[in-house]
Amino acid sequence: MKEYLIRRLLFGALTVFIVSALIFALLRIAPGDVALLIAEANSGGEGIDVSEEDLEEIREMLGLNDPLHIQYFSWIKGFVIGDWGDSLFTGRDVFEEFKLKFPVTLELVIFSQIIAIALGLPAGILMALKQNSWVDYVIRIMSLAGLSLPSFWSATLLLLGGAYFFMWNPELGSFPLTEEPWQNIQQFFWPAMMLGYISAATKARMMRSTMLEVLRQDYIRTAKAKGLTQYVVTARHALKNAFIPVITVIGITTALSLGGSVVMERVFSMPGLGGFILEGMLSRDFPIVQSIVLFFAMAVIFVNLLIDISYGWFDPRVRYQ
Amino acid sequence: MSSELVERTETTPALPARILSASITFIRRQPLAAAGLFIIIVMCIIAAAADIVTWYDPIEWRLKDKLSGPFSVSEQEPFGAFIMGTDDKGRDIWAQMAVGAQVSLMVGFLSVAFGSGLGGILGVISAWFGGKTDQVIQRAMDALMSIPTLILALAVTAALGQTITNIIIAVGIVQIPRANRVVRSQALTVKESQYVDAARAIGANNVRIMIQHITPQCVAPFLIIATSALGIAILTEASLSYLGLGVPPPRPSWGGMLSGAARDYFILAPWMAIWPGVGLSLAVYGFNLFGDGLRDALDPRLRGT
Repeated sequence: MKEYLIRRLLFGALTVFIVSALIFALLRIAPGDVALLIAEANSGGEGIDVSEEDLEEIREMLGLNDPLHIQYFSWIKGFVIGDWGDSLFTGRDVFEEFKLKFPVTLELVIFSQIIAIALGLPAGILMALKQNSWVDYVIRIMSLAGLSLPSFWSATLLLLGGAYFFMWNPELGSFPLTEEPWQNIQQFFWPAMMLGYISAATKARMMRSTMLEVLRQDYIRTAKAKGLTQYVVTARHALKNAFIPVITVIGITTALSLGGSVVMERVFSMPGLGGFILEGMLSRDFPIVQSIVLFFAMAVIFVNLLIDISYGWFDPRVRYQ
Repeated sequence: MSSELVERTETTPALPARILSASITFIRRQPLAAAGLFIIIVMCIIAAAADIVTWYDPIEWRLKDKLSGPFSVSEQEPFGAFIMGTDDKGRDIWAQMAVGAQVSLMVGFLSVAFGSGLGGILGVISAWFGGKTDQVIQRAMDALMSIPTLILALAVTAALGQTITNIIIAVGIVQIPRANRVVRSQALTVKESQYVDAARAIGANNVRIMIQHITPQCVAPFLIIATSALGIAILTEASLSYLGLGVPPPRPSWGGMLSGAARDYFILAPWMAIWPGVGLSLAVYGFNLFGDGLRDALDPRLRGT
């Protein structure tokens, strides 16, 4: 187990390194001069003549004249010690903004995952037990709808429909869960429901197929032949083995929810990381983009690491692969 | 031999009849997949015949006709009804929908050909060579997979610039790891089979074995993954356009039609927000339904259920 743990941790660290190099490379091959963008923004608009000295000064300030590997290492060093640079356009400290916005996204993702598990797993089990019946078809159509409906559209309809028919408006601003719990839950309920529904669809489909596979195993037939009731066969024999592959999907749906949070925070005007990163991308504010994308990637790697470790814990065969 | 062949062609019914009976069997066995395929075909026809089935310019402003409801007729130079209404600039929504279908399908098919295709090829290479090649490719896939897909696609278009080609690249890149995983695991099983050993024994080189012996066996899982990737690709493109980093205006796209004005005019002109969303949902739903049926038909683990 110890050796397995160390191997997984090393893999995780390697992945973090590759992702950071990837993000760095992506932003360096981007066409367009960042210094020119800033100089133009500072002097009030596009197309204004900017002197070469000004550009040179900005480049020097941002470290754009340094060799690439030095730029890379200074970014990573800054990232680790919490110096994520300043926004190119607002001049605000990226890490400070991040600390303000992170709780919103974290709460959204956690709520949506709880909803997804509560909805998705029972739905998947039900589909497998009643395969090819009307129950299977209805839930299948609904779960496919979860994967097909554009979240920004359904969320917008919900928001505008709610505002029109029920005079309901989303809570704007930030309400910490500990201080104003009621407003907080009102604010998070619908976005988390929408995100949770999408994740639930993925989970339900995974649950259905693994459950179907397990139900066709010999030991299930034996259990039935012994005369055990349907409930005991399902709950005690089948579920245990069917759950293991489903745990993996949690990693995928976490990544999905992080991506979805960009859309939800935009639609519901929530002050989270998703909206922050989107603004950074629209204005090509690279310090924001590189640090927040790396943070998102690290979050996904971390969740996957936890899943791998729990896998090794639950299933001894995995440790020796 | 030849007389047998002639006899067989004589006894089989004519081609249209055969297609018809095959379609009926398909609809009976896989009603949901058939519905999905029907949606896809209708969408392709509308996109291909956009100039014939629509009668207004999708980009031209006709401010006198702005915010007309569905089936209203223009006051000036009536070419025909605005069957889906007009937007806040008086542009025909039906015409925009048809052009938007072109964009969605083009980005969908080309990004899948590029992204899932590249992922599949890397999967075969990764499985066949194994060892260090496999390690390098798989670690790169881990890295790509750890960035949430929408954020990766956003970052790529933000970095490369907003053109159709870059959007196709961005939507393609995010599909690489999934296709890679699926094709690689299939190729690993095929690699162990006896006929591959036989091919190696008679001296076939790596490229020949990969193309002629391994790739054909990976087509079925690839098709399953590519069909579902198509739905996701269309959705990703729409999300990019909605968020403002997709197809640049004035070119109509379903995602773009849903952002901005559609939201402001929701109460006054709900059709602006409803049609593109319906189109988008139906398209993605069609691909997902079809992909689901394809999986049931092609996946050996689910066969006979």
